[in-house]
Amino acid sequence: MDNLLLSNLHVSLGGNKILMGINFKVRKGEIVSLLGPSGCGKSTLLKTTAGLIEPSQGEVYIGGRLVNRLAPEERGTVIVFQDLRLFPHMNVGENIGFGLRMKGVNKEIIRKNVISILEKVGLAGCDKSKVYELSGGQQQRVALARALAAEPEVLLLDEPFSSLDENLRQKMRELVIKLHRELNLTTILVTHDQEEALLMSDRIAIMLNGQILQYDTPKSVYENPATPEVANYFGEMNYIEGFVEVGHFQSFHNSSIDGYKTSLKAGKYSLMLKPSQIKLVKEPGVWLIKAISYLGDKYNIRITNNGLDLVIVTASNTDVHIGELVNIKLDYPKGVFYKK
Amino acid sequence: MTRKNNNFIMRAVVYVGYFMALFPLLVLIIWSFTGIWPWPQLLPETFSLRALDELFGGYSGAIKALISSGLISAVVALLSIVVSLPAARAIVLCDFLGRDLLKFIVLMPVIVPATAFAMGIDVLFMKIGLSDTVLGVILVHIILCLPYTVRIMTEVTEATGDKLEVQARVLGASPLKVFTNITLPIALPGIISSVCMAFIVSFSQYFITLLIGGGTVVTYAMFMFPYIQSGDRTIASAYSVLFLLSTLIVFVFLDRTVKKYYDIGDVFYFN
Repeated sequence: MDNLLLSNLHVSLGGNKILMGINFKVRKGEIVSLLGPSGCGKSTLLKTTAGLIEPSQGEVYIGGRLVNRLAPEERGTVIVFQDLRLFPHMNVGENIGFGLRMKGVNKEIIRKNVISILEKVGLAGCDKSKVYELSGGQQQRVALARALAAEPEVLLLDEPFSSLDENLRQKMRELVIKLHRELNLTTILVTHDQEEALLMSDRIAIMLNGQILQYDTPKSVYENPATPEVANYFGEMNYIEGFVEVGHFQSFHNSSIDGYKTSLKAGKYSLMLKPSQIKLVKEPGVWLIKAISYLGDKYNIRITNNGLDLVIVTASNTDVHIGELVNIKLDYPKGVFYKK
Repeated sequence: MTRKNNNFIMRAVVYVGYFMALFPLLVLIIWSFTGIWPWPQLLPETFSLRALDELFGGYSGAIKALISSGLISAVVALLSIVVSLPAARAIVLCDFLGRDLLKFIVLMPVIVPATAFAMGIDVLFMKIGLSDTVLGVILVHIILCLPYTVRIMTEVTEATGDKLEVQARVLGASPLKVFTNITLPIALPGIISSVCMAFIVSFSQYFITLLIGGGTVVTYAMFMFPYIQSGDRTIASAYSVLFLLSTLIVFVFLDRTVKKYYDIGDVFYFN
């Protein structure tokens, strides 16, 4: 069942078109990511869903009902912002209980809820603390707890972990995943971190320039990106131009790249291979190593031949040097062909 | 310069500052109880309770004037805030034509001498029947207070923005609940500053009240000034001390009560 439905949504801000024809569905209990670079419109999409921005066209349905005319406080959506926005004049318990207090829930029930949520996020006993007394990580958890305590139908997270260091970010991701499993809350996570999206989502929506380019499971989006733009989001990709003729793909770089049998129709193609899908063959060859970047477990190596530059990945215990001439082997089955 | 020397100099500066502010007050207090104090002597020759009698005795009406002044200034301060808070929010959060011009115009009553525009206001008030009335005086006082209150509230609003309000709304608070639960408490330190500022500006007005009020509306300042001009230092000092004490009591009362009610420390600007 669709818990959230955006239909043909167009949003303009200050005269600029931000969202252009967004069609987006989220099932109940799903956790999906909106992944894209800065300025692609993902935060705008989130705010429009919550009712903070009015669309120029299109409908928003939450839990099956049309909410276009509803104010933000009536929609059942809660946003956790990147800058947390904890209320400084209230203590932790009052912050967390704010949502229920606005609904007019009984004080005792609120108190019990607050205590239970504090335990869930690992902050038991902090209910009387002042907000500014807490560490950054603790404040993050309070912000999350506050959103959950408000019992929303849809939880919206706007890049909530961007400002955290790696360690804290991992902990928070695990916490969100754990809570999501417990509460089965429909969640939309906005992020520009592709690793985060892959790790946490049931489905990922890749956004670029106000449109959703692909919306599928992490595996599908990563291994079968619909367009080069989507592929590029997950890292630097290799593109080998070539053509298909009578069931055989041949790159324009005849000499240095082997051909490949394929059932694709004839025409010009761009073959996309991830750096990890081109193997380094340590024998004297035609590919010149231009640069080597050390990344801990692996090396990123730039090679070139006859004007074509490629990026390949190899384990960091390999013995490689700049200026060396090597060979490569393409993992064709894993590659994606884009018809030109 | 060693750390210890630095510390000592800083403390010395602070204490000198205290002294320079409090010593004249001390002199005023002594003068209030003076009978005769000829020049070369360090302390008065005779003491007298003449001033106390004058102030609190039956005929003077000084206490009455004090109370009615206090009320007028309180109303002025309140109305100034009621106008300034929404105005500040509009200036900071909304983009409208002429916004920068408005920010400058609001400061005019401080830049243009009051006597210059008060005459014109008095003529207008006479035509519409507000001259010689308390309402007229209150209105003009508000004009004089607005530069301060609008400026203070604008700064306060700029520091906090509307981020917390937006967060409160998505958490389920209606606009009215947002105002009472978030906007007002957060703006409270600024509001206290503005109210104190407006109160003192209004309470200190002499010429304007005389002009617009036409002598019908009597404020404490109007009571006090003739005595200061007259050269009777004892009574003038007594009036001044009472003036200072009243405003001090108002400030402290506001500060303590409101902070206690909202249980907040000092100013916190979160971003």
